[in-house]
Amino acid sequence: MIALRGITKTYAVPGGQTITALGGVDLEIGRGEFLVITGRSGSGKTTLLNVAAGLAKPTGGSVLVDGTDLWSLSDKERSLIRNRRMGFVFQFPSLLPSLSVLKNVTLPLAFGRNGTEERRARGTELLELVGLADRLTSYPRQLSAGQQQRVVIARALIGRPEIVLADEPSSDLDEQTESEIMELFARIHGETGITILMVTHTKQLVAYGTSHVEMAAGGVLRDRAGSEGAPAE
Amino acid sequence: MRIRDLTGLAVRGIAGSPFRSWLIGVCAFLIAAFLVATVLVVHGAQDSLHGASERLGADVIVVPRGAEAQVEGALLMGTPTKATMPQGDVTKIAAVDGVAAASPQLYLESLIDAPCCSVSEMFMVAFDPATDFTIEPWLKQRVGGDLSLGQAVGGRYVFVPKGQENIALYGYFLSLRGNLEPTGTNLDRSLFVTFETAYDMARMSRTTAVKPLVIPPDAVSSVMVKVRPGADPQKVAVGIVKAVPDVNPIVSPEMFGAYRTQINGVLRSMLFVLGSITVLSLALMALVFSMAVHERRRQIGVLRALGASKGVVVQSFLTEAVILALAGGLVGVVVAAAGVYMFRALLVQTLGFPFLFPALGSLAALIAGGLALAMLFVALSAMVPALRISRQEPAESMRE
Repeated sequence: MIALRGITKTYAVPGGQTITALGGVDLEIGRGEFLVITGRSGSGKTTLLNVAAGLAKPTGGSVLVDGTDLWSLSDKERSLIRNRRMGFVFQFPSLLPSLSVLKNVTLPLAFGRNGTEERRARGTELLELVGLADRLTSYPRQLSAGQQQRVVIARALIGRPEIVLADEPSSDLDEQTESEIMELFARIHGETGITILMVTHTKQLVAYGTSHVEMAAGGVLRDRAGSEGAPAE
Repeated sequence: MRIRDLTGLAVRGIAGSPFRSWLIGVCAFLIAAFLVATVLVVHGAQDSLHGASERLGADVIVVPRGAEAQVEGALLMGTPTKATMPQGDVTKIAAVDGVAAASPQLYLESLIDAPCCSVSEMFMVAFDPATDFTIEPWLKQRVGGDLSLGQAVGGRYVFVPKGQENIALYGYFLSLRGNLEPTGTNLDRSLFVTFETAYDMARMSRTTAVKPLVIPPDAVSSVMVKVRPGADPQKVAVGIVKAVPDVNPIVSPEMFGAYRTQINGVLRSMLFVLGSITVLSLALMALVFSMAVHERRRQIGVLRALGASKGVVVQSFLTEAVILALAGGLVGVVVAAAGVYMFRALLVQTLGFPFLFPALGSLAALIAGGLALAMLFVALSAMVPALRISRQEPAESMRE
């Protein structure tokens, strides 16, 4: 579904130096796959996810979504792909504090042409799915961290995306909440067959996915087949 | 994104930072208020001068040499003047090549606390109906006839006292035939009578008034001159000076020159204040919007990830700016217009030039213009930081 070809990403830092976050990564994410990418902090996994989602432009290489190069499109077209075909779960609290739970969940639909009733119905349905049907009118500050992350998952699913991209979705949660969230991901994947790309530094979470890639120093260290890759120079 | 959603997002942005929103609103208020006040004062003063020129209807006003300021002051501000020229000058002026009509006026008296006037001072002017082209055409068109003995025409603020049929001055009863359109000048509190009525009043006042009306014999205060079609008023003025050396002809565009200079001076000062306020407000608003954008970087990054295009990000900030500008600007223009209206008498007194509050149509246009400019300035100050953040990669925006 998403193919990354020779992706490099470098950052210029003060002093004229450049840091290589990704050094020529090739990766394919197949339809229906639950791919878990692990790696230590600074290994480039979040950068890889951002590049795959069109949130960061690669310095080199191409990102193909069903064969279309994401960076050959206009910003509007890329935004539309993110809105219609992708869902996001971030590591940090990403709910808008001034919006109710339901409005946060339905927010992505505001960038489309969906009617208010349709949004409400879909939002309610998803909040039921994540076990928060009774918190429609609550505000993010009234929810626990785990509940907030459930709302974010509901928001990620609101546009019936083909892929959910999750960046360390459970890193700020306690162990029990983490496993609840991961169970939720596994259940959603099992029930809907949606493609999930998740990056995490917790190796134990690999078990929830259908495939695993390990990254180190901006390169793929071990791919699905278990073959060793080379970290970036 | 639908306008309702965009507005909802903007309103939440505003509510999320009340102090920041208040600051922007105050800036919009200041810009709109000073802009509208400046234009109102200057426009009102210029309108007033224009109205007075129109009312006088003369291409050239001839006044005694050295009495230009006094005559203009009498006409515009009601300043008493005793400067006169001989009545014989009127015939000489009428004979100058290019003159179509020459009509004398005599500024009789400034009456304090006259019972017929809604202002404290009333100015009495005598005119010659046989040669007049200022009052007479209006009389014929609006009242349908000439003024006869004992009749008068008043400016906007002249009226017959309640419960009476006539205006009593110097024990003489004047019947008011009508009121002229407002000009914002002393003409609004002037009472126009014919020379015949003025002389009759002076004669009667010797027996009926404690302080009789004294009219200098063989004297006029000014001569209104209409030039022939195609004649150059400047050349006619030169001809008048040659024919009557002791007078000074003032050509229409130069009429009330001292007042125009004064208005320009006030305009310059007000523009300076307005410019300073606008520049400072723009800088402050740009700073506040930059802070807002910085504060909301991560939120903007999330919105971009969820499908908001660069355009939507810019639009949401601009919508926020426009809402704040509308709120602050609307209060600003209303306060400015109400303030100028309420203190218009004080303004005339302080600034020393006439002022006419604009008609409702002009006022509405002025308010709309003030609001539009306030919105433009606020939107401009929001534009740069909004464009900057919209160009940033969403991943970069989301980074701590």
